[in-house]
Amino acid sequence: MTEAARPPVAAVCDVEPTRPVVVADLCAAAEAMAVRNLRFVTATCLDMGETFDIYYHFADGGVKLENLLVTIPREAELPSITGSYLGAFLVENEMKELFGVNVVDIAIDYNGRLFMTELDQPHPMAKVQSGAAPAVAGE
Amino acid sequence: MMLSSVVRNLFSKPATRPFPVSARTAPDGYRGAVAFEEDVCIYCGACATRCPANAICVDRVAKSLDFDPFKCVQCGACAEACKKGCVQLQIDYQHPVTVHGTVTFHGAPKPTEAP
Amino acid sequence: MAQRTVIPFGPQHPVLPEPIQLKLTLKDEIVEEALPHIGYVHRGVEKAAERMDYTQNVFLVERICGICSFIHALCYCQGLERLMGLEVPRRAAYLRVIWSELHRLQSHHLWLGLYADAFGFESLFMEFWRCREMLMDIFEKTAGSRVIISACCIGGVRRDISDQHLQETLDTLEALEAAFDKSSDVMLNDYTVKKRTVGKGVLPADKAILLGAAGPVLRASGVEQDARQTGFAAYDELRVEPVVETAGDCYARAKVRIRECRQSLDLVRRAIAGLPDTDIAVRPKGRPNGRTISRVEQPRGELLYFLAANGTQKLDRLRVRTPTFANVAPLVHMLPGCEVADVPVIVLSIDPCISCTER
Repeated sequence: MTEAARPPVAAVCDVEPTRPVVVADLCAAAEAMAVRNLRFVTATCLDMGETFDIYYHFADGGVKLENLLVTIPREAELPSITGSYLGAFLVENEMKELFGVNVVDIAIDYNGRLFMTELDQPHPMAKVQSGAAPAVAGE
Repeated sequence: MMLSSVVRNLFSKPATRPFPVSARTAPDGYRGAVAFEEDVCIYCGACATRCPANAICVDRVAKSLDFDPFKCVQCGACAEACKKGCVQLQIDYQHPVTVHGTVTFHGAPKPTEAP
Repeated sequence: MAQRTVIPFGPQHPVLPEPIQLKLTLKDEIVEEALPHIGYVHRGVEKAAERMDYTQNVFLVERICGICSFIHALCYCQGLERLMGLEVPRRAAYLRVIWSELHRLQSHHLWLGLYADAFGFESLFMEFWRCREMLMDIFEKTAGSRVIISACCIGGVRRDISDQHLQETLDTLEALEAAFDKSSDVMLNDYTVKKRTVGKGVLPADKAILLGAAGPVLRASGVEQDARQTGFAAYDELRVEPVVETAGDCYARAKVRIRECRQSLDLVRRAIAGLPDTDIAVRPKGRPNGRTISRVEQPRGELLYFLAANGTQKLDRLRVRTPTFANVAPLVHMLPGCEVADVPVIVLSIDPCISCTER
């Protein structure tokens, strides 16, 4: 077994390769990915307290993965990338519903009723209580 | 294919067993019901911390252990965590019961030996 | 005069093992629009994972999907091993491949049976599930349980497979292959089966990429992508060529899965033949810190875990993207234009696992 053949052990504390983009450029960046024929894998939302970190994962062939990182304030609007990748509608609805990310213009919008009913407490995945980043527990 | 399977099924025995008459036994190493040996147990709580289903609750001071078989997922994490080897997964599966509740084990006071 | 009708397909429907609703807008017998609705079995596993210890989570993530439980645990453990800088012993990596491929075989058998049931071929369904039973017995013998096998742990695997069990596995696979040859021949060559599957629910390659299809659905459309190409576990030595078909219809999706079954049989045999003799696990040291992505190939497609750890016993975030979550979107494209009688077959052809999807 050669070392090069193995997947690299992540020594750094972040996902690579990740390219940060600003909200205004998100749709253009997604469109550029679509033009290059990359497959949209999914998006991941992280609640950082004051802000949301949102990763968009795209697969380039079977092996490589490219990520876009958008950081937005809690209340800010996030444009939908369903214009370029229709398949993103489920994950965008999920972010909107479980985290309370204000995603606008989703092609198929469930308006917060994808998983939950009107009786549920809204945004169960959001770290609502504290403004600070991750609540440390379990120590 | 179709015809052959029709003929085979006509002249073969059923694929199922007549259960109460002949029961199937699980192979060695099967993860079945959890059993505790309360005399060996030192009530350290290692099993309780490792249990992913919170099925075990240990009181270290009172030397008692509550086990809820209905929460247990039979993963075997408790058996791996136990240093005394007093938690084991039996070959037999967890049998149904009529009353829902936890099982409590108490440690006999041990005058001489300390862990 | 054509009339438009909206039919709720599901959440309870004879072909659906799990609840999903499709709102079908029909014009006469032809589907014009399909809108999927999920949310009947949402369990909040991602949230639960934040509250539990990272070692306990191994057992939690296995329960996301019973059919490919081992591969979920593998993906999670692999991510944590990367964060903690653990090198898995080679024997453990090979054992992981063996169990993964057995799970793929088992899952494809389950699907082929359900799929046969979807177009009303009950006896073929029974034939496939009879074979599947042999695989379940292998799991029971080697790992201690039939469905949730709990064989993976952080740093390796929890049990070794003895030489005797390896030989028994090989013997079982021999018997399985003979039975599988007969049943798969019906699935691929039977006139009535082809009548129900050829040309139904076509997904072209460009659409498959834009809609983010995964796994056999993607490969049946001619896109050569398989997460096993990344060489996780022991796939760096046991090379895998993605199985590709080009038609993109239901027949092609069944064919991809049948060919993948043969590939899995071959992989298990190669893995058993080349099984190295090392330890089976390393002890994890320290606490995970940082963010990483772990990708593996499930029977249904590519599985992605995003892990964010903060140096404590609990994770900040565990994101699970299951393959069916990706394959629900292509349904929006596949269903319009088909006849309402073909809807069950097309829905089943993506191998829907709704509990996975909703986590």
